[in-house]
Amino acid sequence: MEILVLHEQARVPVTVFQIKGELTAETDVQFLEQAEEAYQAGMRNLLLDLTKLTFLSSAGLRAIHKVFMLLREKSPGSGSSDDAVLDGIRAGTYRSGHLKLFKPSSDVMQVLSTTGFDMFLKIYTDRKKALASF
Amino acid sequence: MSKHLPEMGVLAPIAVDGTLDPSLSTNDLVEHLSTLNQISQALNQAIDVQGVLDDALGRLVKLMGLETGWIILKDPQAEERFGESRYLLAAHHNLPPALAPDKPDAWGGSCACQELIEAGRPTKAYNEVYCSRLKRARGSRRGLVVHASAPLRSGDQMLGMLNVAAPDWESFSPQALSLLTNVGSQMGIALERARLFDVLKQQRWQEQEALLSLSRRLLSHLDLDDLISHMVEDVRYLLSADACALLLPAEEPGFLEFSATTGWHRDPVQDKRKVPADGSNGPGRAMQSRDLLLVPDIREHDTRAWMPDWLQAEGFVGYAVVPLLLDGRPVGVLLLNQREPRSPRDGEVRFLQLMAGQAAMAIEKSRLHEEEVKMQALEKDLALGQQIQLSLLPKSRPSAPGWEFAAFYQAAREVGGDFYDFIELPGEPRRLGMVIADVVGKGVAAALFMARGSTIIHTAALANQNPRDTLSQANSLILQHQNSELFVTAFYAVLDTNSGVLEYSSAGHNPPLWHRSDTGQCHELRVPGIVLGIFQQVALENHQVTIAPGDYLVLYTDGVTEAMNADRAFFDQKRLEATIAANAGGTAQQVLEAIVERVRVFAGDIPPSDDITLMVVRRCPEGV
Repeated sequence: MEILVLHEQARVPVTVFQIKGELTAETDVQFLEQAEEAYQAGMRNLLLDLTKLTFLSSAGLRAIHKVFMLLREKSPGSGSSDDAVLDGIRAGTYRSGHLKLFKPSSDVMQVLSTTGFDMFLKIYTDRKKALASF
Repeated sequence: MSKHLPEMGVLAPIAVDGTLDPSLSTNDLVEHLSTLNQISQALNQAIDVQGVLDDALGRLVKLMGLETGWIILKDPQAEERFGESRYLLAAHHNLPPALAPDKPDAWGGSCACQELIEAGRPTKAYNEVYCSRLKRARGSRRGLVVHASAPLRSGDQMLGMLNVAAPDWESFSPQALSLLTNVGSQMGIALERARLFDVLKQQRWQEQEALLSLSRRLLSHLDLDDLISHMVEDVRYLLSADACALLLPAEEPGFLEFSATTGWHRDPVQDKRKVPADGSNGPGRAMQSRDLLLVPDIREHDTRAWMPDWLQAEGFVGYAVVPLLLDGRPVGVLLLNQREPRSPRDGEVRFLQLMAGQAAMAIEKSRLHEEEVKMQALEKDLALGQQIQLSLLPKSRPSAPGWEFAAFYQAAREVGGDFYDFIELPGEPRRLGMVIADVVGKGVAAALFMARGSTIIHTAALANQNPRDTLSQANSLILQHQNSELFVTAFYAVLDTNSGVLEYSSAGHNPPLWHRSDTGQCHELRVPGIVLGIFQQVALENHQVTIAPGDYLVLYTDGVTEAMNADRAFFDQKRLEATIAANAGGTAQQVLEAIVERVRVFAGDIPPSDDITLMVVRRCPEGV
């Protein structure tokens, strides 16, 4: 797995991780470390570009969830309560404010929807819209 | 008795500096020089000088126009052993029968030339001696009466004498005598070099043997404490130190602690002594510089040096600190102390360094061994964990008329994160709960979570009417007990074994496959739902289907579909469906075994990276 890190300026600064290869138990640590490092360096909004992600395992999901928690817990003003999240999920309106996904393959999308990750992570197919959504 | 012949005058030494008599013809000169050159080359190159002495002597005698010569050398051990000097016949050329080497009367006892040596008198380049040996020897002397003697010496020390014999003084030409002095001094140098070499060789041999036996002893100790206590004893003994200590990094960072000692009045190990691992003291400095530190007499050094009372009380004046280096990394230091000032000899320093390398390796080996023992203990724990885990899985399959149940579980490691359960639910009609789950996360944490998760779901299943509520409650209970490091995907279904109605809910788990006998195809039991353990509240759903006779339900974890082969391809859902379809008609157990076998064959030698869990439920066809 390789991660290409880009910095985009939308309404707010957005970091883009383009993940190439597999996100599994073998690569999740690297992904987490890079995300943690970027967070330390000031990253508050992350778009995961999944166009080149070939496989997402449960360990990869766990890593994405950790990054979700990192950005959710530590970002001021994003602290929506779980109840609010649940209501939002029920109403189909809740989406994470600081972590978004871009264009997963159909296999990866399948994993995201099976595990319910698509219920709290907004998934875009248009990069411009994805960046503008932060 | 022969005597030195002062009245005849010891002939003035000639050619002491090696210059030759100008009266020599050019041819003589060339021959002279080339022979001398050959002799000195042979002497210089020889390691076994004794071996070339014979040859050099032979050439010399011939060149001098004589017939007989011999070399006597001081026996280096005689003085120690017998309290007096003794001489050995080291080389001889063409001795007359009277002086045959095996004749005790010829070679026993002293000789005028030996007395000269003892008296320290043969300081001249050469000396002419009436040979007492020849005089007293019985048998043919071939007319030999006198010999010219060149001392063999190393600096001030007499090593022996080079003698060439003749019937009278006239037989020694000035050129011959100059040759004699030259060769004599060459031989002296060569002998000394050989002696030094032998000493060195001997030292090295002793050193190597000590090292060898030390390393053999060190490597035979697997217990670290045992090893280091023997090490300090050995080092102290081998280097005749008054005290020796081994210091290893303390748990408290920045300190070295005494780990083994010998020869100390008060044991710093018992007193749990530590020294700062910095430049304030010898061990700290050696650790930092990774270099040997020698202080033969501490009193000659800065007295303000770090010297606490307990160290002063030992009365050490000299010390050596050797860092134990492993791949250049200091793993500890050896401290040798003397209560009298003493500078270590060259060989000792080298020995110390070699020994330090051995000690570092032995310590590392012992550490590794201890880690291995710990690992074995951990493995035992894991094996126990596995037993506990397996005990949490149902021991028997439920039995219900018209239904078959089969289940398979295989952990990828000693402990896994998957679990499944059959839960007999209270009340009528007869209802059976079935759960399959996968804790996302690996290792012991996931396994512990699995143990708790399975209990929680089991408890929730008994307390709730429908699968959605069961999983929702399980989620709340899971979150009460843990942070969000781990989460669980779970599928839970309640089967009415009378009607075949299956009510189910999923929390992010792969949809089970429902193989219908009427269509001959697999359908996914897909329900939206988020994994358990992330949010306090989860939005889950209840779905319902009716299982018809001849249908199969296959519940599985991603270890099945994500089983990988050597080409890094996944077993995937299509192969799973095909296997079910191909085995439709078989019992639940047969279908299960077929799937397990297909996955096994598919993966080949590639070890599974995830747990594999399978549950197969079959509603038997009517009349079966």
